[in-house]
Amino acid sequence: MIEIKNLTFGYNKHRNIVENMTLNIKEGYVHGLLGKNGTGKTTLLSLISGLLFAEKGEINVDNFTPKERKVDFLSEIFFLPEEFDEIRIRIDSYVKVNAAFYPRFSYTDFKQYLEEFEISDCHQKLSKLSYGTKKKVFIAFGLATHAKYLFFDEPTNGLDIPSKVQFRKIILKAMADNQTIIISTHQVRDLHNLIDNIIIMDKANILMNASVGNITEKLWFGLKDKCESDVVLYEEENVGGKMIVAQNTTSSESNLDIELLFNAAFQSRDKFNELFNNLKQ
Amino acid sequence: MEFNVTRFFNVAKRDLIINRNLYIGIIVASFALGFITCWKEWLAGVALFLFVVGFMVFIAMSPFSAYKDKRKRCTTLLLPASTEEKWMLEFIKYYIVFPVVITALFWFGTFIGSLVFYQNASHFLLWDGGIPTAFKENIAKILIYGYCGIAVLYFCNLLFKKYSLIKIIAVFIIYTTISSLLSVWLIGADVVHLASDMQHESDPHAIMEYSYAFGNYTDLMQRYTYVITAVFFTVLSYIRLKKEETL
Repeated sequence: MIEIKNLTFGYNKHRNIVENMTLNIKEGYVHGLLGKNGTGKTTLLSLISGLLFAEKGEINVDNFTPKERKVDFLSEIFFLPEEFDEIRIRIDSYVKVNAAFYPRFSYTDFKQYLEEFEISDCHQKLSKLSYGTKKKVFIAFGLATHAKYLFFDEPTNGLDIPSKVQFRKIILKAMADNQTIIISTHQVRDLHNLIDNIIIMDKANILMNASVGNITEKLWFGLKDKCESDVVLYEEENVGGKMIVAQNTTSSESNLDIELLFNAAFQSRDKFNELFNNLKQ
Repeated sequence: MEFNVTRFFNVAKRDLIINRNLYIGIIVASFALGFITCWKEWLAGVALFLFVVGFMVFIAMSPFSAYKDKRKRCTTLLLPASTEEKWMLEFIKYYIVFPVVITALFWFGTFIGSLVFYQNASHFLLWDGGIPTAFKENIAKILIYGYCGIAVLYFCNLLFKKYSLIKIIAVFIIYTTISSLLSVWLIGADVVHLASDMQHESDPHAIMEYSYAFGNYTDLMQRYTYVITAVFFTVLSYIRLKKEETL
C-alpha cells in the first residue's frame, strides 16, 4: 500500500508541482496515472521511488519511507523512467549484473518476456538497440524482477503498435496478486483494457482516483442518441456520431473510454470533484 | 547502517562490467606511457608529464561520475544496494585500487620497455622499482595528504554536476590557501614565541634545536589539520550522497 499525505514538492520556490496531495494507492492493481504534460506524473513517481524528496508531507510504501532508500525497499520497486541510462553492455551482461539485487528475479521469465517481444538475441549490445527495443528489454527485466511495485513512466512511448498490444498482454500475464503497477502516460488509449484504477493529475493535485468499476457506475460512455441521462459532462464529434460522457443516473452499463474520460475530467472539473471526491481511496 | 559484503561485491562486479571499456583504457594507457618512457630519452619527460596529469585529472574527475548525469543518477540511486556500499566502492576505487593499479602498470610498462629497448631490465630511465627512502619516511604524511585530497574531491564531485573540473580546480586553490592560512593561524602564536626566544639565542646548536622543534610542531599541526579536513569532507560526502536526488 502506498500512502501519500499532504505532499508538497516543487523544483523551485515559485511553483509547486505537487501541492498538499493526499492519495492512497491500493496494492494488487494496475493503476493508470494520467495527466497532461507537465502536471507532475513523473515527479510523483520519482517521489514515491525515493528519487526526489518532498518539502512537506509524508510518503509511506509498506512502512518504508522512500527517501531513506533502504535496500529492502529498493529491491521491492522497479522504476522504468521515460529516458534511461545509455549502458554499453550486452543484454545478457546487463541481466547478469543487475539480477543479483532482486531476490525473486527469474531468468526464465525474462527470456520468455523477451521472446514475446520478439527479441531473440541476448548477445546484442544495449547501446546498439533502438529506443523501443531497449524499452522492451527494460520492461522485460522489470517484470522478471517480480518486485512488488513496478512504476512505468510512459512505457508505450517509442513502441510500435504490435508492441503496444504485446505490452498490455505481457503486463496482464506477468502481474501477480500482490503486485502493484503504476503506469504513467498521456497516451491514454494505450492503457485500454489494462488498468483497474485511474488516477488523474491536474493542477498539482489529484483530480480523480477511482477504480474502473466505480467510474462506469457513476459515468456513462457512448453515443449521444443512446444516452438516457440528462447530465452530459463531455461530448465530441466522431465518425459514428456524437460520443459523450454523461452521469450514469439510470445505472446503465457502458464500456469505459479512457480518452473520453480524460477529456471529460478536464472539461468538467467541478462535476468530477463532486462525483469522485467520496471515491478517493 | 546497512553494509553487506556479498552485496558490496555485487555492486563492485556491476561497476566493473559496466565500466569495463574505461578500465581497460586506463590499464592500456598506464602501461603504454610507462613503456614509451624507455623508447626515446626525450619522450620520457613527456610520457611522465602525461601520466601525472592524466592520473590527476582522472582521479579528480571520476569519483561519483554515475551521479553527474541525471539518467545515470536515477539508475544508480535505484540500485538495491545501500548508500554505504555505493559510497565505499568509490572510496576504495579511487583511494586504493586505482593509485596502486595505475602506478604498478606504469612501472611494469617501464620494466617491459627497458627489456625491449635495452635488453636489460635494470636499465630504468625513471624508476628502478625501489621505494625511495623519502617516501618510506613520509608514508604516513603522504597517505594523510592523499586521503585529504581524495576526500575534498569526493565531495566536489558530488556537489558539482556541471563544469566539475574547473570548479574542482577552483576549490582546490581555495582549499589549499585556506588550509595554509589555517596552519599559519594555528601555529602563529608559537612562531612569535619561538622567534622571540631565538632572538636572544646566540648558540647555533640551540637555534637548530629550536628550528627542529618548530619544524616538528608545524608538521604535527599540519597533519592534524589535514586529518580533520579529510574526516570532515568524508562525512560530508557521505551525507551528500544520502541526500542525492534526480532534480
